[in-house]
Amino acid sequence: MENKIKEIIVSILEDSGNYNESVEIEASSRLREDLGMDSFNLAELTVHIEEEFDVDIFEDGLVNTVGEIFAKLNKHK
Amino acid sequence: MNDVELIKLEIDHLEMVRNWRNSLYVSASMYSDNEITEEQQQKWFLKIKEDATCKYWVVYFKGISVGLAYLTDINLSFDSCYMGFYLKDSSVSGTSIAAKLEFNLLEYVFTVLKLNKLRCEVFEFNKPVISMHEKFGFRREAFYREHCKKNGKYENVIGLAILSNEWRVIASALGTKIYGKFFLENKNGE
Repeated sequence: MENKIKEIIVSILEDSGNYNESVEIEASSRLREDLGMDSFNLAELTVHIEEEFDVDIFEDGLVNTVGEIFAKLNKHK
Repeated sequence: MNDVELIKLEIDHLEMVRNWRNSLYVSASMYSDNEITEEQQQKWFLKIKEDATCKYWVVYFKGISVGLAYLTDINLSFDSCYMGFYLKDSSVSGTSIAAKLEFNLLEYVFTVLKLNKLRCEVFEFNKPVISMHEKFGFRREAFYREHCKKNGKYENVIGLAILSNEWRVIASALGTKIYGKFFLENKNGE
């Protein structure tokens, strides 16, 4: 699941021309500040994750880091 | 599908909106950052309430008030208007709300009001906002040099705009990107 999330993030960033290969995507990575995702990217991310895992990551509050996405998905397992 | 809702600004919203507007977070990206008094806010509301050239809404996301959106200078001779919005603080700006809100405003302007051109102005230093408008198809049309004085410094402003026919070309693809299958289901169900 974690690799799938990273794949989704990379594909969104690549699509929008914001992907920086030198930035490692880790659980502690902050979606906006470290990975450079904007509101549009976050909307796309929500859609992709919902399609893949049937979970709305923003349903019950904010998500700031990649690790918080993992935690939300683990909670719904 | 739509978790962003626009509710017409009413008198009961005024104090909440005034507090947002007076915050450093919001005033930093507005032309004017003078503290707005309760009386000024009331007078402003009475003026805009009767003004057919503007529309103001409180933005709700999943039922919670998160910001203000507005259309101004609605000009039925030119079929154009200006768009603006702000979210109340960084806790809601770090989400997908701004993108969904912008999508909704564009749809409203071109589908409901059937205008031809939507314009907006953004400080040159506010690069993330300019970039997001460009993702929604806005193009840069103007560069206003030293247009506004902020914190004792003159700031440049970028004027952006999008036309109705440009929006129609990209609206479905953008809707699908930010709403996914729910957008398609909604479109097909029309």
